[in-house]
Amino acid sequence: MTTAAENEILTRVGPGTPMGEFMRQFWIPALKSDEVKADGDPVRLKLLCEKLVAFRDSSGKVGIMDHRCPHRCASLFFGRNEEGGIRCVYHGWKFDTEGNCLEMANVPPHQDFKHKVHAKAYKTVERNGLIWVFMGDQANVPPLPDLEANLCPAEQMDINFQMRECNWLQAVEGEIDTSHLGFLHYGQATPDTASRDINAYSMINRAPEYVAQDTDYGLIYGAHRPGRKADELYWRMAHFMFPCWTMPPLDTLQANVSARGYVPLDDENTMLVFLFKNDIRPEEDARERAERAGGWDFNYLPNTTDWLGRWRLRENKANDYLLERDLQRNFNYTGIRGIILQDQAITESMGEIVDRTFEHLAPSDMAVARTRRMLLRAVQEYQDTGKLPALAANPKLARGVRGGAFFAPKATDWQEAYKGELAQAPLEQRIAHPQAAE
Amino acid sequence: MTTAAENEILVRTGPGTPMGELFREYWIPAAMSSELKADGDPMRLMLLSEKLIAFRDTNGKVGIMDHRCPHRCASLFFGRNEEGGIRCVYHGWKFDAEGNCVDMANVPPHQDFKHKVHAKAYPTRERNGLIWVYMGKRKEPPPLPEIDMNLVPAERCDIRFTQRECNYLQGVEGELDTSHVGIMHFGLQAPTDFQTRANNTRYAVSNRTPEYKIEETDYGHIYAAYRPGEPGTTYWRFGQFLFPFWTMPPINDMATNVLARAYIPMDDTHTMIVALVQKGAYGARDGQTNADNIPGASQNYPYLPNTTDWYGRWRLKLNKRNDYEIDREMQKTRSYTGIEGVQMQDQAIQESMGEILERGHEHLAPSDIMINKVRRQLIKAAQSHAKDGTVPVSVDRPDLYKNVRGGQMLAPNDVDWLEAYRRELDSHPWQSVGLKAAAE
Repeated sequence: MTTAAENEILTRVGPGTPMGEFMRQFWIPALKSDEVKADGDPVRLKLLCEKLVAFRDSSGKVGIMDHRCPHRCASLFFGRNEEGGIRCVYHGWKFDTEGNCLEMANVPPHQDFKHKVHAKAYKTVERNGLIWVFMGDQANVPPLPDLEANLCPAEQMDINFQMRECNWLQAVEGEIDTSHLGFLHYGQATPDTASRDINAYSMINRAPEYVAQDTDYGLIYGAHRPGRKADELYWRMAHFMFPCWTMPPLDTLQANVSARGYVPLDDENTMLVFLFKNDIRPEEDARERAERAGGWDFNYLPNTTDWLGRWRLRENKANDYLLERDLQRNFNYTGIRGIILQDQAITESMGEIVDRTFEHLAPSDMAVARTRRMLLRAVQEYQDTGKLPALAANPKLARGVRGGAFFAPKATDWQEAYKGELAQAPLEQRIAHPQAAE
Repeated sequence: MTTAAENEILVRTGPGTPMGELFREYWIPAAMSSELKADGDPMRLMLLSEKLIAFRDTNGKVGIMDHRCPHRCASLFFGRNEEGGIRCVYHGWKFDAEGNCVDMANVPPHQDFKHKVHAKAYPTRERNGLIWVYMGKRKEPPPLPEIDMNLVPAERCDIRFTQRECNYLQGVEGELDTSHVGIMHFGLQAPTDFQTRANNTRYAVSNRTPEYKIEETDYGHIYAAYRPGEPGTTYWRFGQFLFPFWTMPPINDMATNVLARAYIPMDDTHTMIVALVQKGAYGARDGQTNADNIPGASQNYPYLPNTTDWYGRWRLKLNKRNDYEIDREMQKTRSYTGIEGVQMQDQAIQESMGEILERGHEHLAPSDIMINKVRRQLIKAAQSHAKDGTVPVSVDRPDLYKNVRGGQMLAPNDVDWLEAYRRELDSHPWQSVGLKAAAE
C-alpha cells in the first residue's frame, strides 16, 4: 500500500523535492551525441523540471546550463553558438561550456566584472554516443557508472530516445513487472515455436512466481515458471538500478546487453533512454509472434525546439495510439501496433501521475512494491544523513547487471544461477572502455 | 444576490463536493442504449468529474466503472470487451459488469485473490433506450425516477444528447427563464408570423414582459409566466425544475408538450444535455421542423462526428470555436441573434457567460424569480445533505416525477393558475399524448 504522501515523495523531482535532490546525486543521460553539433543550434532541454539549454562549442565540448542568461535572464536558446561559447543575443554576454563568462560585450572595460559572473552550468561527459549531465553539487562530481550498455562502442549500440507523457516512476514500474509480457504484448500469441524461442515459455505459463533481492545498485528480481523439463525452471531476470535505470529481459541473458533509463523531464513527462546492442533480433521462427506483438518499430514526429518537443512518437495519447479495435479482436491483444507503443499507451493511460492509493498490488508486483520501498528508504536516508546508495560513488557496481532469460536446475539457488549464466556471457562488453572510470 | 461561496456550492459537482454528493444520490442518464453494442468498443464516459468507462457485455448487460483497472490503474478503455466482461490488456485481469474480478490471469492459482478485488463499478439500469447509472453510496440504489418520457417505448420518444461547454447550472437556468423566448428566439417576429404553428407562441411576442407565479414542490419547483391572451383569457407558460438537474420547459402547448431535459455535469465546465421528447410534441404538422419558416428557428443541429475522447461525444458543428457561425446580416434583418437554431441560440448565449458563470457579477430581475428560487433550493438541499445526509424526498419517491409537465396554454382569467395546470394535464393524459404521431 502506497499512501498519497509517499506517492508525492516518489513522483516529484523538481529542485528542492526529496526525490529530486536524490536524483541529482547521480549522472543523468541528457541527449544523444548527434543532437548537438559544433557551433550548431542550441537545444532546449528539460530535466528534473529545470529548463536548460544544451550546445556543443567550436571544439566539440558540450555545455548544459540553465537556459537563462545570468545577466537579465533572457533565454540562451536565442543565443549565438560561436567561437567557443554561447553568446546571449540581448547584450552580447558570452559563456563557455563550463559557464564562465568570457565576455561582457556591453560593459566598458573599466567596469567589466565577467570574472564574478557564472552561468549555472552543469558538468557533462560524453561516452559512446550518449551525453550525460550531473546536476548535483558541482564541486563533488562522481565518476560515470560503468553501465555495460554504454561501455560498448557506439557502432555496436542503438540509442533510442522516446518521450513518454507520464511520470517517470510509472514508466519504470512497467519494466519491473515482467508478467505483462504474456498479456499486453503477447496476449494473442501462442507458444507454438517454444523449442526455438526462449520467450515462448512466457506464453506456456502466463502466471509466474517471483523472487527479489536488494543490492548495492538497486534491486535484482526474477520471475520463474516451469522450464523444458521437470527439474528445470525458466527464469526471466531483471533489475532496477539507481536512480532511474532498468534492465528488462528482452532476450536471453547471454545476448541481452541493454538498459532503459526513464529520465524525468518534469513530473509529467519522461524521456526513455533505450540503449541496446544492435544484434538483438528476433529469431526467424519467432517472426509471427513478433508480428502479433507488433514488433519493435515505432515512428517519430519531427523534433521541434519546444521544451517537450524532442523524440515524440507519431502514435500518441492525442490519437489513442491509432488503436484499431478490429485488430484487437482478431490478432493483437491491444489493437496497438508495436511493443514500445503498447507500453507507452498503458502507462500513460494511468494518468499523468498515477494515484497509487487506487491500486491493488498482486504478488506479481513484488519488484514494483520493493523498488518503491527501497526508493523511499534511500531518499529518506539521504535527507537524514546525506548517505547515498553505494553505486553513487562506486561506478564499478553497475557492472555485470543484465536482464535476460535462461534455464536453470530447480535445485540451484537463483542468484547463483544468475551469476553462473552471467559468467558464460560474452565478456567483451564488460571490458572497461578507455573513458570508463576505473 | 448569489455570493462567490454560494456559487462554488452550486457549480462544483466532483467527488466530495456538497452538490456532487447530493447529485450522486440520484440516478443519472449516462448514455443512449444505441451507444454500446454487446462485446463492442469500451466507451470513455465523463460524469460528475469522474473518468469512467462504459461497455455492454456479451449478454447485453451494461457496465459503468472507474476507467482505471484496480490492479495498477491502467485504463480499461484499452481493454478487451469479450466473453462476459472487460479484460485489462496490461495483465489480463477481467471484470464483469458489476465490477467483480472474474480472472487474475497473471497470478498463479495458489496466489489468486480475485475475490478480494473489485473494480469501482456503479449500478446501471437500462429503460426504453436510455442507460442510467447510480454513483451514490447506498448498497441498494433507490428506484429510477418515473419520468413520463422514459416510461414509454423507445419508438415513441426522441432521445437526443448534446454536449454544452459550460457548467450545468447555466444550462438549467436557461430553461427556468421563459421570458427570453420573446427576445432571443423571436425578437424580430410579430404575432402574425406564427400562422401554421399549432401553438400559442404568438402571445409570447405580442407581450414580451410577463409576470410570474411560482411554488415549491416535492420534486422541485413549478412556475408560470402570464400575460394577456385572447379577450377573457390569460396566456400561461409553465416550466418545471425537478431534482437534481431536470427541467421541463414550455416548448409547445401543454396538451402535447411531454418532454424532459436533463443538464448532466460531465465535469464543472462541460455538460451533457439529455433531451427526452415525445414524438409529435412539436405538433403533428411541425415535427422537428419549423413550419412557419421563422428565420433562425430551425430545430436541426448537425453534430460533429463522435470521437473516443473524454469530451468527444455529441458535440455540435456550430460551436464556440466558430462563434456558432453567427450571421450579422441575418441578425440585422431576420433573426434576433443571427444564429441558426433555437438550441444553438441557447448554447451560444450560455457558453458566452464563461465556462463557470461568476454569479456575483449579475443583476437579477423579477423575471429571474424561478432561477433565484431554484438556486436557494439547491443550496439548501446540498447543505442539508452535507450536514447529516438528509436527502430531498424526491430521491425515494420516483412517482413524484410522473405526470409533471411544462407547456403553454390559454386559460380563463378567473381560474387559479395551478387549477388551470391540473385541468390541462387531466384533459391530455401523458400516456396518450403523441400516440397518433408515433403511429404515423
